[in-house]
Amino acid sequence: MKVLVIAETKQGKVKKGTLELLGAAQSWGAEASVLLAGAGVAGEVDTLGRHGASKVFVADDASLGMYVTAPFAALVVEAYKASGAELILFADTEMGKDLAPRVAAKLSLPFVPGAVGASVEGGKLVAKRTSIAGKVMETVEASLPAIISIKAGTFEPKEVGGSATSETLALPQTDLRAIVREVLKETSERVDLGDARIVVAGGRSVRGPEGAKLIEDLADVLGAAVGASRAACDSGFFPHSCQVGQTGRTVAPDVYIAIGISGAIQHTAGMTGSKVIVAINTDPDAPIFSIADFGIVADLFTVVPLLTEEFKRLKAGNTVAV
Amino acid sequence: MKILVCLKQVIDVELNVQLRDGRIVEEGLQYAMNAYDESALEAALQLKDKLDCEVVVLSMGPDRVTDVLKKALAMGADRAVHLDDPAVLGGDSGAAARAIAAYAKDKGFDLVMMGRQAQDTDAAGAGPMVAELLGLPQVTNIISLEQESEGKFLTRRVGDDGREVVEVSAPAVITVSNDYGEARLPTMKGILGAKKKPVDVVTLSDLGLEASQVGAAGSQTQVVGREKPAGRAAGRKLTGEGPDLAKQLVEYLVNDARVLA
Repeated sequence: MKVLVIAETKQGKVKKGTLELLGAAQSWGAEASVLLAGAGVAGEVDTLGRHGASKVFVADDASLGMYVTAPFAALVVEAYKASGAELILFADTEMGKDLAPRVAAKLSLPFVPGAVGASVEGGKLVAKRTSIAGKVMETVEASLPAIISIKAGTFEPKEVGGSATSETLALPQTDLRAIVREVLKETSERVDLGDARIVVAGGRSVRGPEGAKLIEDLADVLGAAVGASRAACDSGFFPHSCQVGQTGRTVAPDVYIAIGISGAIQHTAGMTGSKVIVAINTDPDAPIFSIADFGIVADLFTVVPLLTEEFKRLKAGNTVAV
Repeated sequence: MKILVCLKQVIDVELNVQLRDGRIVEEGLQYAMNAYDESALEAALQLKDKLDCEVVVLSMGPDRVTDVLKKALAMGADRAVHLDDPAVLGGDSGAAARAIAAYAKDKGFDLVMMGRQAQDTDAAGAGPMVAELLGLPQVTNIISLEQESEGKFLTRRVGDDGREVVEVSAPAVITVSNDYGEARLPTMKGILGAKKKPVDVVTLSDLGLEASQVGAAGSQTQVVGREKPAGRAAGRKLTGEGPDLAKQLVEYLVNDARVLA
């Protein structure tokens, strides 16, 4: 089977979610082509090849530095036709949410959004996805060819040491009726939420800028990304780009440290795929503890600075007693 | 200016759902306006507060969806359209988009708006699909919307790398984030006034559609099973003094879970 993976990049580098999609193709034994569209991205063909891509369709141009629907949709259609793929894979990100259904309507193909599991059985796509705020796990089928978007952490990237051939796509001539004027930078120098191995997330209980600073300090000593609950973003403690959950980002890091987050399903929907979940909350009955591998019932204002100190010591080589 | 706001009636997702034979048990379910669509309606009504503008709301489904339409009229929408056909139920985003596009085409809407996703399916597919079917530009997941000049709108949306300022020419499809802000509550005056506002009933044949093109029959994806998701099990939970807890957590992450070097 042939699949087409739609790559996402940031500052010229392929995002982890894209490598996870290549991991999905590997796990199905599928031959993967990739659409690599962006600005200054051509150098990533090798990375994609190492992760199992056999062919990369490259559209590298300054005008593609920011994602805009129309040109990207046109490029996906072109790559799809050239690739002979039976399945187009998108990451379930804001870009994927904007682009995948548009392309599905353009090509009149079935679209399965936000999968947390997928396989191809007997010429059919069979996917798992959640509905009713995570209360129901659905099994969804669609005949091929089809389009699917897959949530972060569903598949693992695999380095297979291959190499990919590349083909340059011509820039599409699209009528731009929607233009991104600017991106208001609200993310810091920290690692991107979707790529982070560790996420330190704060909830409403951080109460204000001082509490938010404690979260950020812990994130910085761990080289982690900062996440937040919707309540904490709405209260202005963290920018909305940090929001994890049903409406925010879906993340699946190695470690997710939820601090002062009660664990409403709207939040946990975005992080239950994490390998290890740590919860810190003063309320021993907070629902977050029911999914946490390691829970600490304590005041974040006391315990978080101590944790930061402990990790600093660890980093300095002064490891804790075993 | 004319705005269409699409409103989905969804199962109240805060309540528990029961499954039987892979289906959701309908008895005892309560329904509500999809909260994301409510944000879209609020965004449209805020334009109407400032500009000369007609806000039309559309919902599809059985009689119960008139609750959603009446609420929207009480909030301030000018008129409502009910696509009244049981065949529209149980469909995927593509089937919903086909019906919305069939209604919206050739009616001269400057903006077609809806929530960025539905609370029941979380699919987020219909908006971009409607845009494609109508051949319109789209801006998804917006948190602000204003008219900049005649036929031109300025929005802010939440993208993967932060907030983006996006300029879009009408006609366009806009999907709204629930971070747009709180929707207004219907006032008593609004509720009384809503009784005088029209609710037009349209049928599939009015829209030139067959029952096989909408709902479950018109869907290209099929839900073949439903089950309760396997939950994560709770691990240890510690209470005690700060310094000791911090040490134990670090030890756990380094030595037990082996996720930190």
